Amino acid sequence: MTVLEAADVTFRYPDGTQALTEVSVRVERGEIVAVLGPSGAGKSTLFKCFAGLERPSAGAVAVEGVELAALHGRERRLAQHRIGLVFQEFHLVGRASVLSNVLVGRLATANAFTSLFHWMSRADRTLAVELLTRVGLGEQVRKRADSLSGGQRQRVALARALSQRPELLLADEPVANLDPVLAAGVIDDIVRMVREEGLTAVLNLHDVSLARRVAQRVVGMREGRIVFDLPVGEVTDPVLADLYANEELAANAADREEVAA
Amino acid sequence: MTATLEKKGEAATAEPRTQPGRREEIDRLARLRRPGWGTVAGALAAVAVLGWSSTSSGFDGPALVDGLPHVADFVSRMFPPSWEELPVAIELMIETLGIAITGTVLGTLLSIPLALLAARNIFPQPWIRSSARTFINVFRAIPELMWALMFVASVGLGAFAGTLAITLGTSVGMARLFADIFETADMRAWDAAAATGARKSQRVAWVLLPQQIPTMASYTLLVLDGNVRAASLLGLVGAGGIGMELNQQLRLFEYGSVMTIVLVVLVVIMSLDLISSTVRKRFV
Ligand SMILES: Nc1ncnc2c1ncn2[C@@H]1O[C@H](COP(=O)(O)OP(=O)(O)OP(=O)(O)O)[C@@H](O)[C@H]1O
Ligand SMILES: [Mg+2]
Repeated sequence: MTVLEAADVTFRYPDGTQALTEVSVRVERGEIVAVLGPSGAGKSTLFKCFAGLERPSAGAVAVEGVELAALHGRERRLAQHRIGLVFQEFHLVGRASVLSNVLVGRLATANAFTSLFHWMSRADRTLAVELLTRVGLGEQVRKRADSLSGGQRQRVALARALSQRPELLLADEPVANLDPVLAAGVIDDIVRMVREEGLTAVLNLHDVSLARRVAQRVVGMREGRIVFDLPVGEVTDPVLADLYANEELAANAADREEVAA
Repeated sequence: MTATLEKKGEAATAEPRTQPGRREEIDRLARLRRPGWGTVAGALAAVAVLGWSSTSSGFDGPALVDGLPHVADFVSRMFPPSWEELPVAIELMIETLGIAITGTVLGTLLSIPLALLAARNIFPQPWIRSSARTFINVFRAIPELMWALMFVASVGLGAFAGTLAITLGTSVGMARLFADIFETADMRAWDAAAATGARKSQRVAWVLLPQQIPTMASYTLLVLDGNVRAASLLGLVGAGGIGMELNQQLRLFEYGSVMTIVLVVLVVIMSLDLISSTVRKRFV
């Protein structure tokens, strides 16, 4: 069954930048897909369109057959609740406790009035603590989120996303802010939890080796278009070299500019 | 690197050779430094306003000099402070603190919804924000003592009128402050919470307030300080607190009692200042 389907998605920012051009992807239930591509390829923009944070200028995105952009109010909130998001910079409430950050993921279905006083049902609290224990933060439940390390913070954000009991997990460069050793650990945790929960996941990654390690399928993007969409076994070095061609040249040029300035 | 080199080169060539064209250019630039007509007119206007305001403020140099002995006399008659007045002064100071604290707490609670309406990132609709801001600005323009007069007229003499006046003044004053605090908040966690499907009210309770409460509490303590001062004066218009007693003792020429009252106010406000600055340091 198809969980996520993008059909001919084109996206233009208000300033006229065309970030996506006729992008079509289809993700089946239980798949783990990595999106790769050089900086500015449009990965983050695609993530926002998938998540319903941005509305495509043309084309459509459907999650479980529902087009988020067409929904409003309560229906929209409940549809968003079915999609868990993980961001590069964690997006946690630093002063709040780890537990309270995870409980945010339960708000959409909690009692609208009592939840305002931070009163959450036992089932919600149990789920939150259970998820935190499973990502290895059982001891940190009462700590303030801003007292944790980067890797721990991203695990809190993961637990928040999973506490929504989503169908689909989307992550935009979830480990770009972490050092390589930590990054591999966090990515492994994400993938392990996705498998355990039987979820579908799309991960934007900048690290090719990480993508190869965890994904079943890799989508390569460049200049707003999909360049390839292959099972991980077929993503060979020449294919990747093609995807990143000229990027090194561009990076060198940027370095030279920096030196000049 | 290249930029600094260029600048050096330019300076080196410009200084020794002053071509005729460049001379004129320098003269023109030098004239620019002379005050223009607008500046002169502005300065004259400023002097005129100062002159007018000093006459209408009744400022009178000779009278001040003549009055100095009387001021000294007045101060000397304030000693010694009257100890009989102390229990009354303390009791009324407690009432004053009650007015100030109740008004600050109620006003702060009322200011939060108002501030949310006035913050662009919480309610992006321009009409909501501008109506809330207009409401706040209009009510903020009226001093607390005027509110006190009006509340005395409507609910009668006493501390209740004072409490209402402080509550109202605080709620609009704080609403403005809090709205500005909210507008500069980091919205990333807010957006992430929105993407989980959480309602706006829930996002306020779980994301915005937890992030901002230390800053808000620190401002609240600052405002409490000001409200104690304001509440000490409310008695002058019959709205409760220590001001009423001060007024009465002045009229009876009981300067010893006046001194006691002033000392009590002084001690309370200074200790409050000390406490609140210590607490605020812990917050931020
Ligand atoms: N808010 C915005 N307004 C205008 N243009 C934008 C905006 N955000 C991104 N862009 C542009 O859209 C294009 C795609 O950007 P996007 O952030 O999706 O790339 P990316 O693949 O995520 O890159 P990176 O790997 O650096 O995160 C870029 O050319 C970028 O400059
Ligand atoms: Mg990006």
